[in-house]
Amino acid sequence: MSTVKFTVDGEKISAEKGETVMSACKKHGIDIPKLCQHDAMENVMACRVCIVEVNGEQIQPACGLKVEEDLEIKTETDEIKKYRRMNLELIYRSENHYCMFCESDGDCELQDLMWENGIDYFEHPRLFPDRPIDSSHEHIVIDNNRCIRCGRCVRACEEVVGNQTLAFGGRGLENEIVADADVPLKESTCVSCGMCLQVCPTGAIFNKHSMFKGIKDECDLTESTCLRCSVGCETEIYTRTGHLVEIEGAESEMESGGQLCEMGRFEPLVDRTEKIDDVIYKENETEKEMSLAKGLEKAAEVLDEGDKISAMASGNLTNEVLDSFSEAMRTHGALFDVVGAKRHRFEKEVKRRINMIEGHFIDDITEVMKADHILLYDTSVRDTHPVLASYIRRAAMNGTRLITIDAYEDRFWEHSDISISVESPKTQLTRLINQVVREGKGSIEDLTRVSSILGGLRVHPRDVMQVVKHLEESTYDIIILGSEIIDRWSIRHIFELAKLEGSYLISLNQASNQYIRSLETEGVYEEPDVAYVLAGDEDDQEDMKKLIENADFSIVQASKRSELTEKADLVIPSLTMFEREGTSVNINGEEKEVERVMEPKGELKSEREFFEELAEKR
Amino acid sequence: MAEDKPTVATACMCGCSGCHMSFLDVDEFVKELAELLEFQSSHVIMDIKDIEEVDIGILEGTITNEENVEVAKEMRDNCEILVAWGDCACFGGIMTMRNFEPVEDILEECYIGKSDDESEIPDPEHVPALTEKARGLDEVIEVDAYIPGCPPSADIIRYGLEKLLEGEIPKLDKDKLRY
Repeated sequence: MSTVKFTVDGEKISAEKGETVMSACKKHGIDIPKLCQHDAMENVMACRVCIVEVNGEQIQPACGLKVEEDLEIKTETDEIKKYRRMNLELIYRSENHYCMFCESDGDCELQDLMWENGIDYFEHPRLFPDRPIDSSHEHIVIDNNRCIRCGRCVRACEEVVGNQTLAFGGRGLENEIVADADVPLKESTCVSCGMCLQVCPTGAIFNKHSMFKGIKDECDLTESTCLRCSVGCETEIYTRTGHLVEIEGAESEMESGGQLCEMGRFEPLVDRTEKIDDVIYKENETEKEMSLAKGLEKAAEVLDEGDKISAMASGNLTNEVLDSFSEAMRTHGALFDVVGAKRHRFEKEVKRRINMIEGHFIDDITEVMKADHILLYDTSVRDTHPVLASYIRRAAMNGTRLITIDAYEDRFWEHSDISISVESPKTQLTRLINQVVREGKGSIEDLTRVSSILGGLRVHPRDVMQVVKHLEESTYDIIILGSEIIDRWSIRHIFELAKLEGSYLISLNQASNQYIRSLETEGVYEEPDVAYVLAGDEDDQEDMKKLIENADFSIVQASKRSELTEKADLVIPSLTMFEREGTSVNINGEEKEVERVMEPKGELKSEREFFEELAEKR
Repeated sequence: MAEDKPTVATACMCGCSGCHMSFLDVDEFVKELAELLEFQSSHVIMDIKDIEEVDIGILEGTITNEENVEVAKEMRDNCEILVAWGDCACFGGIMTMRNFEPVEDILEECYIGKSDDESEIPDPEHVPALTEKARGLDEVIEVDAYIPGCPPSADIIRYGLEKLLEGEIPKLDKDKLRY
């Protein structure tokens, strides 16, 4: 990359060729005011606030101006100030801004610029146009009265989330933000990720659960890692007087563009489930509350008496908690498992059997945006790993061929080039694909053999041929396995296909902490004397429910009430995901810091100490 | 009463008097101010409401009825420097939310639709008629200094008065400007 030297306000600076003046200035600490520009998106030069003087003769927006050798830029001439003021005033007076009751008062980029530029009166009368408000959505409000048409939300929805829900509707003064073909947001294709409200510079799109809870400057900020799925997005969590205000994605993480999903951004704010503060022991249909120390003694006593003990932990806990819990359980002679680890054990076994090397597994999921073909087994990824789903959509929008195979509805139907619906297990289909890859296209013409492999599955051989054709054409293809696939043969055939085709693999499981890959786990007794379940903050897992139902005595350690705690004989409090601190491993195998967002409110301060003490009581 | 002290008159258009309340938050500065300024008339802190000739005229609130227009013009005619206090006076403020509907519809809704059977739309002979639109001061009269805010903080009000006493027209920006 060649460098270019140019002048900004008399200062010589160097930049990479092809870079914009705005981006070069930012790197040198020169702040050019802006409203529509956002680093995660294309520049559209909509707001005209970033105007600069070029070579003493022209005025151009810095976000759309490419650096050139010897360019002379001035950012603060009287003329620039005059036009910037005029543009700001026109932006403000064209809409219905009422700072005094706006949710974003104090957190508004437009307001900041109005103040910065000393706009204490208007030169032109205000318009008072009639604008719609859409508050149909569970989490998001779109108030077009405060919209400045910067288009950040529209671009974020398309370029960052790959969803294309938001768009501009209407023309001229009627121009406004609409969802799909102007339907209420609730009824639209919105995936509720909330990226639009994170990038909105004004109060036009805002979070229903955070509104009027405080401006960011008055909040405490904690940077942490989201533990709702194994993508492990970096989060910025705002709290005020110990209460959650807002959760945002870290925009410094450029690949994700700072996005989160509904689980990470909104669910913790909506959660009103009753917290568990005390130990509850149920004896003869009556509930008895006891101290944490008594609860620990009781648990140790029950574990001592039990012969067959099964322990199961959520996959959304930190490494430290998983370590100390498994240690304590093993001391008491329990078999130990983590939700999601079963799938991992199957994979390990398959890899050993078919002699598969680790190099097939991708260590950076953003690679899906570079693949030319994606073969996606199980489209539930859209709900289980939404940010990964956004990368898949972005890839498909940029020309990557997407092949989806699912037992149910194809949740990528807008984007998939080939969509095959096939009952689970998908093993026969994959076997057929394997066979065609191995033996050539002729083998599919033998229809009796094809149908003997497919059995009762209704798949058209043409689709199989298409899949094979695509895989053969591709130079960089990635196979993604969703977390709902748990039968061994499907996994084996998919892995064999990857080996045969030289494809790369992304294999997902239910656990958000991929520490389970190095943690020793095993299948647990299905009908144990004692079951000890350590739950996470996610919804109840089926495996855990089943285990408790089949146990003679069940201990559930959880932070909030759920079906699990209702059924348990002994309930012990645990920390919430915001009270916990430690480390977690994401899908790329990177260790991420999980910070404590709030001080533990209950008697329990450290789960690690609790389990160490439990281990000692053997 | 010293002759050389600058004289001040304040009045409220259609507003909540919040800016005047905020002015009272300057606390003990009021005492100092009394030495430096002569309050000729003021709608919240004095009994005298009639506007006579003054050096500094201060107006709060939106222009939303015929009386507001009259008082604003009277103040403009009688003062040397006219100061707008608050978002209403500077930009129109929250009162401009009525600009989305025609005046007749608003009166109908308030006095007939949302009222009891005996209620009727006020006669403009007794109550000043509403203007077509609610407006900021400078759409009706010339304004010399703007102190926006909802309300402007006591510190900013004090800053504005101090600047005027120094013989300057206060101009707010950056940290001083809030609305």
